[in-house]
Amino acid sequence: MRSQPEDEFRVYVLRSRGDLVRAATFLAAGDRHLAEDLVQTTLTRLYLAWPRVRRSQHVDGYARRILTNALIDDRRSRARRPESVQAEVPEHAAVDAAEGPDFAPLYAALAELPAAIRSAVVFRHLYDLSVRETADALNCSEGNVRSQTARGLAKLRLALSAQAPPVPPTHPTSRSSS
Amino acid sequence: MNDLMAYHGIGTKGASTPVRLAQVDADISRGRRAAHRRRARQAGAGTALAGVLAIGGFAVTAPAGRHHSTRAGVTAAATLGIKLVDFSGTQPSGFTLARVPQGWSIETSNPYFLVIAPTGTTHPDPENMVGKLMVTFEPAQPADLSGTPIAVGPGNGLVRRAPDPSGDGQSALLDLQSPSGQWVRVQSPSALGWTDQQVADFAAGVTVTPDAQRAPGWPPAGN
Repeated sequence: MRSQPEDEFRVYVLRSRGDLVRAATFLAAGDRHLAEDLVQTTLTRLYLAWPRVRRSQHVDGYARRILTNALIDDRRSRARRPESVQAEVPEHAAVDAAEGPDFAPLYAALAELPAAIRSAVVFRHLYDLSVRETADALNCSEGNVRSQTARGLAKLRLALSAQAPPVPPTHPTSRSSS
Repeated sequence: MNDLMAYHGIGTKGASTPVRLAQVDADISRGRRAAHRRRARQAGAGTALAGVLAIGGFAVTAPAGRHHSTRAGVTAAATLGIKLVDFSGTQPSGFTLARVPQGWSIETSNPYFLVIAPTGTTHPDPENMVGKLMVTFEPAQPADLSGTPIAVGPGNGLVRRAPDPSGDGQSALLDLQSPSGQWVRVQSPSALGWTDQQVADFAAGVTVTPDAQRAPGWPPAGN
């Protein structure tokens, strides 16, 4: 028999899961399998905390914080994991066809950012959160968000510039006044 | 950055990913299982374990240059998590076991590593180690020897904690060096709810056999 808190959790997941997957896909630099893992981890942790947070006005912020921590945990556990020998070249994350290939440059650039900086950039500039909301998601100070996003944007700009072909010089249009 | 993103035609305001009801049901099932594991751990914390767990079998030596405490009496206080029971099945290759977690059995064994999982819950992917107890040979001395010294049988090991791959709680990583110089790692999942000393108690019942080999890489092909 389902309880009322669980019914509330179900409604929350129905409403928010899509947004979480989308944010997680940016955080995972386009790796949809990792994004799904991160969302599942996030929702499991949120389920455990639900009796405590369900009346909060900031459930979304709490979920984003869990999502960020899940990404950082994943980076750390991958760094510790022993290297594996594979007979075949592993698969690479594919860009979702529904999103179109235009995301590939952004994902490639995001993949070069450390997890914490990537999270700051994603929530602040790709997810349009305020500095305060981003700080809440990252569990850090607003000043830290500003410095992280500044560094992240500089690196993103560099990466995206490198992928863009040189922009042809523009010529002033001469208008004939007749 | 918006100019560059616009140049690449990158937009970020698309619709969110559609949600399927089956996904929501699976999310809730995972949450229920996690809540069940947490309740089981909390209940186990209040249950006294009669007697002292026997120690013996896998002799280890202290890594050079480190001081080790004996942690006398900690074994008697090891009362958390799933308890150890005598192992009664066919011994695996590469290792012999004195004890296993109650309700757990060997899932995979070869001369390189040993995987122990809850009986009857074998994962179709043999390389999926989430929630499983592992004993592995390390190809070389572990790079990270920052763990806490802990008594393992008549010897010592180094134990530390890391986020569990399941995303729930922390795994325990216990590194041991056998008298012949081989490094062995025991990785205990959070699902067992073990204290460091309980991990050491399990490790103390592991004996390396002459069949054991260092893995050329990890994970090698299972059998």
